[in-house]
This record gives sequence, C-alpha cells and structure tokens, in this order.
Amino acid sequence: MSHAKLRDVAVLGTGIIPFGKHRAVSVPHLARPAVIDALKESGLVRSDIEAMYCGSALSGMMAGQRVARETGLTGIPIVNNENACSSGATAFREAFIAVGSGQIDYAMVVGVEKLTRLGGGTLPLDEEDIEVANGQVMPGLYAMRAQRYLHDHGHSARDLAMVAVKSRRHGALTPYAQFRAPTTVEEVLASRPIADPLTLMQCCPTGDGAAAVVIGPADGARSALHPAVKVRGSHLASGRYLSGFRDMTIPEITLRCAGELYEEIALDPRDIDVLECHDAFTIAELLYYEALGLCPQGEAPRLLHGGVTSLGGRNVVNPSGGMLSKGHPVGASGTAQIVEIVRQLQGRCDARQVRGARLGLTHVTGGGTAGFDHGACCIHVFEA
Amino acid sequence: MNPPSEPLAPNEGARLAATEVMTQEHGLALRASQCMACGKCTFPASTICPFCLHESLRDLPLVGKASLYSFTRVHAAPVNWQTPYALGYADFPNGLRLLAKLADATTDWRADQPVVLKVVAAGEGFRYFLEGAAA
Repeated sequence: MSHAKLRDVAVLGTGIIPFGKHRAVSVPHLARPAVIDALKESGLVRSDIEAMYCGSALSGMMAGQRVARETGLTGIPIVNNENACSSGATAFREAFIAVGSGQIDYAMVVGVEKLTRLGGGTLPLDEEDIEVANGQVMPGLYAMRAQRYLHDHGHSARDLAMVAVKSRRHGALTPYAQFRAPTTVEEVLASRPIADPLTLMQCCPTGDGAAAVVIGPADGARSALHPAVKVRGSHLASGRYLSGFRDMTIPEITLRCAGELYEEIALDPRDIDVLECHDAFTIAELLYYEALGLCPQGEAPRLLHGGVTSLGGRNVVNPSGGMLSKGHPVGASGTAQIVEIVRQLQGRCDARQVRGARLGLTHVTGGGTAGFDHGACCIHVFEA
Repeated sequence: MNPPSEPLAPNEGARLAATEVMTQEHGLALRASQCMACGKCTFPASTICPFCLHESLRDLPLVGKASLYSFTRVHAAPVNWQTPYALGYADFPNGLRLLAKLADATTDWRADQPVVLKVVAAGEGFRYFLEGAAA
C-alpha cells in the first residue's frame, strides 16, 4: 500500500483493561472501560467518532455493535474484523485507511476477546482442516518450529526458556499484565510439558482482555490529554499457500510483511527503539527477532542473552511482558500492542519506560491452517 | 475426511473415506493429485489446481518413505483427544509435505530421520500415520 496517497494519521487516545481471567464479565463489558478511556484521552466527544472498527475472533456476531451499545456509540458505521490473532491490528489498519484517505476524521478501534468462556485448553481450530483433524494444535505447530530451530542452529531449551524469563521480568513492571511474578530458567523448564520442547511457562496463558484507541488526522489532536503519536506505516499480508517443503524456522509471512513495509517507509529495523511482537510461544519471539530484521538468522539467542531486546537494550522487545505475561485474548492482542507502543512513545510507562523511545513497532500474525506459515500478519510503525 | 468429533486415541488421526485412498500393488496409499499443467502436487487431492486453477489433474499415490522434517510430543490438546501423542511433518520425494501422527509417543524421534507412511483400514474408513524406517 502506498502511504504517499494518505494524509498523516495519529493515535489520539488509548485504553486498556488488566488482562486476566474475567469469567463473570461479558464481552461488551470487558471492552467498555477501554473504549471510554480511549475517548477521554483523545479529548473528543462521542459525536466526533464517525466509525468504529472492532477486532475479535471468537466473540460471535457483531461484537462491535455489542460494545457500541454499552458505550454510547450506536448508529455509526461499525465494521467487525476477524483475522485470527491479527484481528485487533487489522481493525486498526482499516480505521487508519479510512482516516488517512479522508473518508472520516475520527474513528474508535477496539479489540476484545473472552477466552475463558471457551473452557480452557488449546485454541479451537477449524475442524475441516486436514492437519487439525490429525491432531494439530497451536502449541504443536510452534513446538515443531522450535524443534527444528534447535536442531539447525545448535541452540538449547535454555535459550527458549530465557525468553519467558525476560517476559516475566518486563511483565512484573506492567500493571495490566496477567502474570507479574519474576521467574527463572529452571522454573520455566520444570513447568509441565505442553508440546515438546515447549513447557507451560513458554506458552501464552488463556486470558480475557480488551484495548481501544482513537485515531484521527495528525493535526486533529488539539484537545488530547497526551501528545499525539503518528502512524508512520501500516501493512497487512496474508499467508502464501505451499503444499510442499517450507523452512519452519523462517516465518515467511512476517519476513515478507516486514520487508515490504520497511521498503515502503524507508526504515532500518535496527533503528526501532521499542517493539511489541507476537510472542505467543517462546520460540516465536526468537524467530521474529530474525524475521523482523533485528539480527541474522540463527542469532536470536545471542541478541536475547546480550540484553539487546531487554529493557535498557537497543531494540527493546515486549516491554509489556508480551503475550507470555499478559495472556493472548486473540482479538484484543493487536490493539493492546498498539496501546503499549503509543504509551511508550508518549513516555508514560513508568518503571518499564524505554528511555528516549521515538520509533516503535507492533507485529502480530495469526491462524493455524494447513499449507500456511500463518494466515495473517499485520505490522504497524509509530513515531513520537 | 471427517472432523475428529469422537475421541481420538494417541495413534489415531483423520479418518478418511474410501475415495480419499488408492489401492496400490503393495497396499494402500493416500490419494494426492498432480496438476497436468503446472506439475504441482496437492494433498488432499483436488479437482482444480490451487496454484494455477487448471482443471486437469492426475491421481498421485502418496505412500512409502519420507524424511521427518520436525516433530513434537503433544501433551495439551482439545477435550476428547488422548494425550500424549506425537506429531510430525514428513517430506516426500515428490515434494509433498504431510502432517501425520507418529506411530508412538515414546520413541526418541530425530529431525531428518527416515520414516514410512502407513495407510490402514479403520472401521468403515481409513487412517494414516508415520513409522520409523531403516535408512
């Protein structure tokens, strides 16, 4: 997509609820505080909002309308976006295009999911899928990536576990993270096995959550409570179908999505101060360091152990604790990442603040289906 | 192919109908297809090539030796599925990659080891799995 044809767009307000197990709270009520906070921060009133974009994968029909009913936003166009784990980011992108193209001035974006109502366990996948019918589950898919990555590069299970340790270290500083207790490599490896070599603490927990942002033209932030954060770039890719060999240690959809976006906006990924990436499992974060261009193939553990991606490092990854500490309420995660990055670029993140952060990136993928790396990948770049 | 609505034992995978398997000289094979125009292979078999949309495809038996690309032992699965079970991706000489249950969850599987695809009758249908094979 050519950004040159769009006017400058900025995030004007953000809202997020603490992620966790909120069994007694309905989907629209999960989203309500996030939507109201995003609106308050934007300094706008309800009648300024011209459209709502809702991301949710497993909330049933018309999640956006159900949220609107509880937040006084009914009557305007509402678009419900399902793109697996990329649902919330896809909703944001659709709003970005609508505002950027001048169709509308102000939009509400909300991502929401309530996984506890599914009864726990692995995410339900499409039962018509030949791989799912043979026992494929999301932890199994990532586990096979991990197995091959360790085999190809001589890394160990301890390298994987260190990702979870870093995640918890960051999550301990994040008020809205689900898991906030620090941990150790030994504890991570001793947690119960899920899909070898991945143990429980290397998998994102089940959780419920919601996040929202208000976006508008970059010059339309006059009454916002915090400095507007510019959307520097937006890109969405779908998976390429293959029926044969695929190198599972190279996440091609992320590599392609990131490469196309970097070229479009002339960005060197090593200049990005802070990133939220799709760390649904420990192996994922390592593979994404490489696919997002932070280091060459096979060298992600070196980056991790060297502190480059930890708070205080050059390219801080998942300062919020990511999905491993927050949980991964599927449709909410993409929007939650945007809230974290925007607040980082506004300098509002207290103990987990990345000092001097000017450039930030959010990355989500999504979908386990035969013949694809993933079904969707959505990346955004933000600039203070 | 029927979705796994019934309990699946650790060595059971997708249950196939008779139209989804082929009888070969040395036993049963899975029915894959190859496009007569672009040459690409597809499993499960298709009547339209998903790569070039050509409508002329030939049946291709999928059976025999392959190389285990990666594997895992799954301990957490949907309700009804007995755990642990082992899963692996196998690459065949014709270029196709297949996900299947591995014959047992206790073997120490290794990346790149040779495996062999077995297709067997199961009740009113068929199922398939991968076994270790000599190099």
